[in-house]
Amino acid sequence: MKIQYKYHILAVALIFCAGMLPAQDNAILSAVKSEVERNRSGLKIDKLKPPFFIKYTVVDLKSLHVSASLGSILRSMENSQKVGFSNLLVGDYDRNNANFRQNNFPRNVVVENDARGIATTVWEDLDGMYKNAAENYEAKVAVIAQQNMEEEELNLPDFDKTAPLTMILEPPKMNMDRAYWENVAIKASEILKKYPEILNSAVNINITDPVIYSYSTENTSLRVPDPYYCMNIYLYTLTEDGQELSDELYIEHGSFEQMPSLQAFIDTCEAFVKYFIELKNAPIITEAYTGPVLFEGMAVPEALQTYFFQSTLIASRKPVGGQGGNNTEMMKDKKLTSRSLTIKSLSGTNMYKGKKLDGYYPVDAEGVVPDRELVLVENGVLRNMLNGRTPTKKFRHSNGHMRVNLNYMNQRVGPGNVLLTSNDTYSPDELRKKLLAAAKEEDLDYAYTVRRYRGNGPLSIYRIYVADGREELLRGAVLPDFNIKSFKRVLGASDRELFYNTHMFGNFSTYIVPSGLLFEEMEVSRNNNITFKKPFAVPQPKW
Amino acid sequence: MKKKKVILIMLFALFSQIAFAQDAFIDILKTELNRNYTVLKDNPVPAYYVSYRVQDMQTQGIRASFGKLLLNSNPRHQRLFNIDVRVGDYEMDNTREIKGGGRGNMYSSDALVLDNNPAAVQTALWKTTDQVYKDAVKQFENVKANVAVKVASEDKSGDFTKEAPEKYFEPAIPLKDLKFDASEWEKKLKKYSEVFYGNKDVLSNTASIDFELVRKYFVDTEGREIAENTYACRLHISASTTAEDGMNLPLFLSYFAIDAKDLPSDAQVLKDAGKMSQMISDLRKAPVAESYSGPALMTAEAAGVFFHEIFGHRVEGARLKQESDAQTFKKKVGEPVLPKDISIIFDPKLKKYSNIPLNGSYVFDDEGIRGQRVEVVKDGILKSFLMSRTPIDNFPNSNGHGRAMIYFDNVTRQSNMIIESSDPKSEAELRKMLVEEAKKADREYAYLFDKVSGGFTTTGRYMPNAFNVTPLIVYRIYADGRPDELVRGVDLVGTPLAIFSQVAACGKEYGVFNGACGAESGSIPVSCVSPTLFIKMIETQKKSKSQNQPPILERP
Repeated sequence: MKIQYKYHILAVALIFCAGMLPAQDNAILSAVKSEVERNRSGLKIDKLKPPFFIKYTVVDLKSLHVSASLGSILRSMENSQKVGFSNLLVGDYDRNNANFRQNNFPRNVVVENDARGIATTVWEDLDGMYKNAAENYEAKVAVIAQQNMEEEELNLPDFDKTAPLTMILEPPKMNMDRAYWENVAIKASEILKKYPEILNSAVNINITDPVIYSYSTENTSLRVPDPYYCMNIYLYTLTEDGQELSDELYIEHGSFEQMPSLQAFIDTCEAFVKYFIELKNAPIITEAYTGPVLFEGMAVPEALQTYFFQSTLIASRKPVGGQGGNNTEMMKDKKLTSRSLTIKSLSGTNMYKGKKLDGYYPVDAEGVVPDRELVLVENGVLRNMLNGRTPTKKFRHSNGHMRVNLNYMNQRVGPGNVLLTSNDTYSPDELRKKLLAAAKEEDLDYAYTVRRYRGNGPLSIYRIYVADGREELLRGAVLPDFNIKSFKRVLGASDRELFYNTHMFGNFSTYIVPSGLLFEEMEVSRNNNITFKKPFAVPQPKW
Repeated sequence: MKKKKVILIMLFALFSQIAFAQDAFIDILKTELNRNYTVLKDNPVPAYYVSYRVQDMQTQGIRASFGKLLLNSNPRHQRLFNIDVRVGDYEMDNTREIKGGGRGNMYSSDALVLDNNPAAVQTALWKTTDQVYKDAVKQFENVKANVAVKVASEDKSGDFTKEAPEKYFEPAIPLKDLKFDASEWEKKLKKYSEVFYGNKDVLSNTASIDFELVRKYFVDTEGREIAENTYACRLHISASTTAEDGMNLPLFLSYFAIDAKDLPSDAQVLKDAGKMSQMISDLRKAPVAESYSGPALMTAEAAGVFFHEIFGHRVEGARLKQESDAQTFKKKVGEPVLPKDISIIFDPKLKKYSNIPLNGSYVFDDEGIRGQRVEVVKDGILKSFLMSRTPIDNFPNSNGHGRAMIYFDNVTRQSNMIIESSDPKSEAELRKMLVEEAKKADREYAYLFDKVSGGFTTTGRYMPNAFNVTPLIVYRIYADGRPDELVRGVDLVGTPLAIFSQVAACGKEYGVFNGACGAESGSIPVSCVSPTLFIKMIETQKKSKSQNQPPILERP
């Protein structure tokens, strides 16, 4: 199931001068700026503190969603809207209402690039935000006063200072040709007519063309495009013994040129369907296993993402008076993974070994330019964590990873580009031999290789026999003890690199990883949570 | 003449058949329905009834605020279906109420492809039919166990009425034939909402239009085949302010038309919007009313909402079957429930009242039963109930009031409610009666409820069987002849039987309230046609209000 991507360099013009903006774009930023500044100087209630920081973001979003099944359109929608959201802080950088109660909801902004209309939404939003912020600030100070907090935590600033920035990027021209994409969805979904074993299927196309405009009272002005193309195929079936199987395959890029042609997409879909049918007909796992497991292909970035970038390497401070925070930072400068592994964030890098990195972004949602390279785990030792402008005990300054989610409704700290490397590499053949040797050492007749791993989602797992290297696809397996600790016991990695784009957890990211990662020991067992369904009461319709 | 009629009928019949033959989609639905039913009716737990309900919906919504476009949505087209499978028999089936429990998860609704691709349509229907059938079998076992362990139901009727099937076909209407001009409406909405820009008291405002063309299909195993079109435009203008004490004060204008060209002229809408803008400013300065009991007048529009909430929901038949329902009127058939001059009719066949289009009109309900005129109250005497295919004691048949959004199962719902009086009074007479009643009750003033936003009622037994109507414009009418005084901050509250006993007279002028009613089966369009109402004794309570101050800065 190899997916061939074409990579092209997308030319983006960085213009560091707002005066060069087209008139209509100036209208958005200047309307936001002027209303934010009016609010900064005017918002004040009696003895309560005024705001010291206001940021307003307007996302000018055009989107296209097409969905087709068995050669016919299920849904086809174009949308054009502007969404606005704000951040307003009362107090000062050291102590303010941040990291306490959150009351931030996006709202619709006029679709026209009209100063009056935009200003009205900004005004309405900021009035409510200020009242909440001022009240929350007082409440937060009162909560802190009643707590016996550690000195270090008490003295931790609430918001990281950053330098002003003006970054105006030219939005790329996107292919939002509805007829073109409808044809792609129809043609690709039509191939499923040949496979009646697939009981439900859909091909989905999602294209978003957002331009993010942002102004903050720190004198930061941004216009940043965030193009996104996604092709997806969804499959569902029922096995003979009644297990429901469903899986999805995504192809995601930041430019049209990188997306596969219709024929290439059809070929990809066809390969995925064939694998899925093979899975449907595969035997269910019956034996429990503890031994070496080789992760290959997409399973490597999927595991990395699940165990490191959902929370482990995301710095997070415990909210005042609340629950949460990420204690992984207490492991700083201590061993977190096998010493053979190094994990870096390359969010501020747009090319790697001549390939375009789709997870690149020039500036984060808080106006911070991400590091070109940031070492997170160095030879197994935790050095850094991704963060935004909320300082934590160990990581005081933002490294520019606060990102607007793909739904443009909220934001969270997340990765852009991630590089996983190993200093203990082998060719794919050698790695497989190493797997089988490790299994033999454990007196096992077979080992396992995992090729898809999506957390609690679908698992693609193959049994490989020690005696003859034969592979057997299985279904119904789980990896009950697979967790971050498993990365401490890695026997080796592939010397080939794999590029993988994903939108999991709301951020569009690129992972560059070894195409194989061999874990020393892992449990593989049958999933006891499967409910086996009775067969269909009525035979499938024929066409 | 007779001959001409015969020819016309023959032509119509021929046309209908041709049209049927042309609607391939109905054929696909029937094919899959029959294919499934043929097997399911012979299963160990047989299905005795299956229906497929489909809505092909083309919609478009545009919204403006303070003269600028907020949302210019592109046309949206979707085709959704809902499947009903019944196991057991007409007397007792899987839909019977589980006493002390719920109905469980039902997955009866999903999306279909937009064209008539038999492979895609049949596969989707087949898959969901299987799921709904299996849920029905499971539920039927629950029903049987529940019947065995609980006390016998008071209502001895069965679970599904027997009705004669009908076939009905309207040719499809191409969207372009309706000539909805989105760019023209963008301009209009900007113009309407611009009215509020100049009034700094108005803190938020929208003008919106929602246009929809829905083609409804219904086929079932009893032989029904229906294809019916509905289309409508709803123009809505809203604005609100916040008083110094934090009270949010919203007002709205709502216009309904079958065809967009029949909506009021720009001049009329602008005039209404201008008045509303002024009323917003007046309300902001108006004094807050205290809780009160005494006489009141309700304008026709307010009375329509009042009757819909307080009376309408209590004559919905299926509700009266539930042991958990208070069943206010169930045993009152043949008894007086309202003053003897008042009659209440529900008529989904009525498309207009005094040339005003009605929102609750349809030919067939969502169970494939022809909508019928139902005289629920005649001269104050309760005669009948609104019925879906859920029977109740003494009412074994549907009168075409089984309604639901496509995502939900059908229940009995209202259509067009018409309240009539055989002894209407002039507005002056009503006002005189009001003042006299205020004096008699030793009240300084009475109330006039001019405009309401809506309301709600509880009909169950576990909570007080009360209602709440939310007035937007309320005046004090002074007994000593002082000028009327605009007030704010009251809700009209009470219990149904007590308030009906206080309804004293109706006016001569009628008003129409076109709106949407939300209940168990989702939001459905309804209308109320009502005269002004004089009630001898009502009760108000202070309205809940926000504790937020008005905006600190003036609107830009």
